[in-house]
Amino acid sequence: MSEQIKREDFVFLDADRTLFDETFSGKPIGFFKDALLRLKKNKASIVAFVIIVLIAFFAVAGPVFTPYGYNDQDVNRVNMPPKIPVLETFGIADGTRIIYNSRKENLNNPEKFPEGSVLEIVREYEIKNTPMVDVKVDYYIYSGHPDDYFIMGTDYLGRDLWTRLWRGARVSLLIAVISVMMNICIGVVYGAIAGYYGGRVDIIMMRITEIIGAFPQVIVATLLILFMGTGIRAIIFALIIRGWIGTAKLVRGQFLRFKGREYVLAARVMGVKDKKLIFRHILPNSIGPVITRAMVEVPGAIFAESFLAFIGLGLQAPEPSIGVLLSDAQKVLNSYPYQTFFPAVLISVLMISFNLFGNGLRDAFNPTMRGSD
Amino acid sequence: MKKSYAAIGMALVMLGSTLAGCSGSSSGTSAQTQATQGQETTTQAGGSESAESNISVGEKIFYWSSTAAASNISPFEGNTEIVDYFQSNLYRYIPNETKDAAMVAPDLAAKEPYTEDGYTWFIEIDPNAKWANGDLINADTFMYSWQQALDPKLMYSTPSGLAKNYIEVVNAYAYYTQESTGVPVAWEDVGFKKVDDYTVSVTTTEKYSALDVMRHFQMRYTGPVYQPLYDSCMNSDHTANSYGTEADLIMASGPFVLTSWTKGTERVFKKNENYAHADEVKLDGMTVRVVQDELTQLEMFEKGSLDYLVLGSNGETKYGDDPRTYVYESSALREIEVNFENPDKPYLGNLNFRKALYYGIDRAPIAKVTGNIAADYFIPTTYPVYADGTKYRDLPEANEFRTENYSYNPELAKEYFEKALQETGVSKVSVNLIYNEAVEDLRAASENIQSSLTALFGADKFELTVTAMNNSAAVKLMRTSQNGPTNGWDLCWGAWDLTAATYYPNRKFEPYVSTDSRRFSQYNDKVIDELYAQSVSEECRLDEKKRAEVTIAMEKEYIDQVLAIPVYQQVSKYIHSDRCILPVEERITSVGFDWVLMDIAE
Repeated sequence: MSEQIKREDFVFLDADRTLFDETFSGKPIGFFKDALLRLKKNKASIVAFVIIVLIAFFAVAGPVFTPYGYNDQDVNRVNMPPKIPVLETFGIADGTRIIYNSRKENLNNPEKFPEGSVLEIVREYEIKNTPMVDVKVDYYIYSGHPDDYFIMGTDYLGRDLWTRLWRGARVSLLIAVISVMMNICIGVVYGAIAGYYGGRVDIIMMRITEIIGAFPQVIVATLLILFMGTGIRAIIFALIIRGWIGTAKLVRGQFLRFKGREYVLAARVMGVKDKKLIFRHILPNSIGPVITRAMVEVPGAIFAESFLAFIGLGLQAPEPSIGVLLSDAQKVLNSYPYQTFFPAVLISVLMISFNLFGNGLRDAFNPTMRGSD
Repeated sequence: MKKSYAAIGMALVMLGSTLAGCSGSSSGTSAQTQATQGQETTTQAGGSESAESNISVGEKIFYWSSTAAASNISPFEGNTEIVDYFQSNLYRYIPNETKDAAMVAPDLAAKEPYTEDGYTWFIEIDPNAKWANGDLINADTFMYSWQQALDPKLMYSTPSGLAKNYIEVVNAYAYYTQESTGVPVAWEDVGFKKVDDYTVSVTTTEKYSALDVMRHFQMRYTGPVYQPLYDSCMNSDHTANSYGTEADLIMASGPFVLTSWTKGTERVFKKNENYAHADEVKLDGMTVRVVQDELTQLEMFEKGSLDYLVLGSNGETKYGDDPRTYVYESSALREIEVNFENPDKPYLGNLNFRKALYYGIDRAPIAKVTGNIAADYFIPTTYPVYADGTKYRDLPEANEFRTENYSYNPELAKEYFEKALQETGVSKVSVNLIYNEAVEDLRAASENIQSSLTALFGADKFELTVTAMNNSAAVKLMRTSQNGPTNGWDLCWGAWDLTAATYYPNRKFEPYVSTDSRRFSQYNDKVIDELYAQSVSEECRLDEKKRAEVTIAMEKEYIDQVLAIPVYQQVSKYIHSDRCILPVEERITSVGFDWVLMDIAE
């Protein structure tokens, strides 16, 4: 009935060769390398990063490109408009300015209008029977500096704004980076302790952050600067005093998330001490969000410094910062708008760049996107 | 879908309500909005009447702005010129016949004061003098007001000048200070007396001229307060009075009545028909807007929202050459005050160090960059020294101490600096200069001085930091020196502009006299003390040549001892709109442009 399969019916295949497991075709990728790969694919972030590097480069080396120091004053060249080689031939930043409400009779007075300074009479009119003109002049000839070039013009004391802007950018970046680093350090340690120990320790520590956080940042910063006096140190301190709270809460959240995981329990069972558990086993898992936060906080710190400077709580003269330059420039916005233009563009570009770069980092470090590309 | 329509409908209703709310405010809830809209209609439409405003275009309203948001405008506590627009005093400054100088004329007084013995002066009050509500102003009004001004419990700050300023009234200062001195003085013993309903007498400690008496009683704090209102404004324990803190808590006696006051924003005045000289006032009203920002002021002026503008750096760039711009030398002289007794920095008390600063400051570039006059002197160019109008600074002997380049002498400065280092035994000097954050010129001047002095003395030996500070905070800080040596400050900009000094330059030295309560230091200069006492003595008061000699000696001592470091004298620039018809062509000391008597073109 049933047909039996005989032993002879079976034969060994591949009996004459040795079999191995297949090797992986790709290389193993770690967490940071994976993040870097994703970051590289975010073109906006890369462009932003390049811009940040460029600005940082100019902040360090920019003042070297001109012969003027950031506090070199000359009252004979105050408020000069921008004049840039090459561009001036296209009528852009050519050192000209319209002088309004001049008496027409003065056009023939070489003491008031040196020869060659008048380029065009824009408008003629009369005020109280006095002939008046609005006249376009080469301001460099007009003020007796025909051979000079001030790429971004000069300020109310005749100081070169190119030099001051990059010096200011350096100071602003320095303040921002130091304050953010300090915030991260304090926030990480504070948040790690609160999150790891939890319970009563967590409750007390978090209430403390809430009390400190309840005071408005501007008021705290203002009082502190009034107390300590203006200066880089005071501003950094003002930015730290409540700036670390966000990082602390972030890290605490990460610790609450990771401290119950099996690998932590295993380490604890094996007798690993708290300090090692916190900083070696749990904290590295929070590093992505912390770096992202740091990048996002840098523009915030630059902006906060600028704001403090703008309301008169900035650095001590003659030290510039972007905020100090903007604060000075807005007072003469109507007459010399270029003095506002350059620092405003710089701070805008810095803010956008840091935000774009921060967004790129956030996506890159996002664990849910690991291996997605 | 229905929910969407409902939501859109709700949104429209809310928008409509909001707009209706805006409309409502313009019709009556906000005085500020009313005035603004009314003014815009006035200046732009040029003839019709605004339906939403209580100011018709036909009215002659003068619009100007003030940076001072004064919270009190009583004669005793108000330190703004606003007070002068609704308050009258016994006398007032008006332009002389040739309109090139000021003269004192009766205001609420009927005529000039007179005396028989040179000590007791009789002042007759105009029987037509009235408050804005029609109540009469008489001798009782002034007796009451003066008693309140010198109230020993309240001890108002500036009204102490009623006791002694151009004249000194018998026992008045002792009455004013009795709480602090502990020596009781009855009001009856003070030299103010009612003679009859319209005559008061004032007994002085020494002989004075009628001109001095009239100048004394044109001071703001000698003006009257309205008794029923003033009494009602006094708190129960007699420690504070709210008179002049709201529009309805003040009674006008001058050219205008304050009709509305939005704190920190706007004050609206209308003509006071009961003012004794109402026939001279051509304006129907005046609106004073509080605008701090220069750019905003400039924009308002260009849009016709302001008739008058003090030119700042933006305005000067644009209107510096305009024929409508007025330029005049102000009496404000900016000097750097020194904390002589800073215990941490003994070099501040070292004469050679102060001389190094005096000769080391290059005033010419500071004057150029700030648009002012370089000043190596203490008495400004505007002060007359003789009754014929001769200016103090025009006296050759008053300028003998001055050297070339406004006393800028870098070699001499370095010499003094090295001597100072040797004498004080320090290798490096580190000082801080405080400037008023609201004054742009001071910031530019401070930064210039910081840069130039550091270059002159060397960064290894000299460090100057500059700090911006609110003016009242800076003054308060400097005054801490009155309680003894303090390390709270080193150098600070100051500008003594004393009204009394306008006609008596010797009075400019008052704050440097060791007994003066306003001074910024415990530093005493006996020579100044003696010379000042001599300058205000009867002999000098009645002999202007002698007074000028003593004043010159005082200024020389002031510069020799460098009691402060003068840097520049302020130049002010103003522009007014075409529709303003000013009663004077040039600005006159003590009168200004006489806005009160100006007219507006139809």
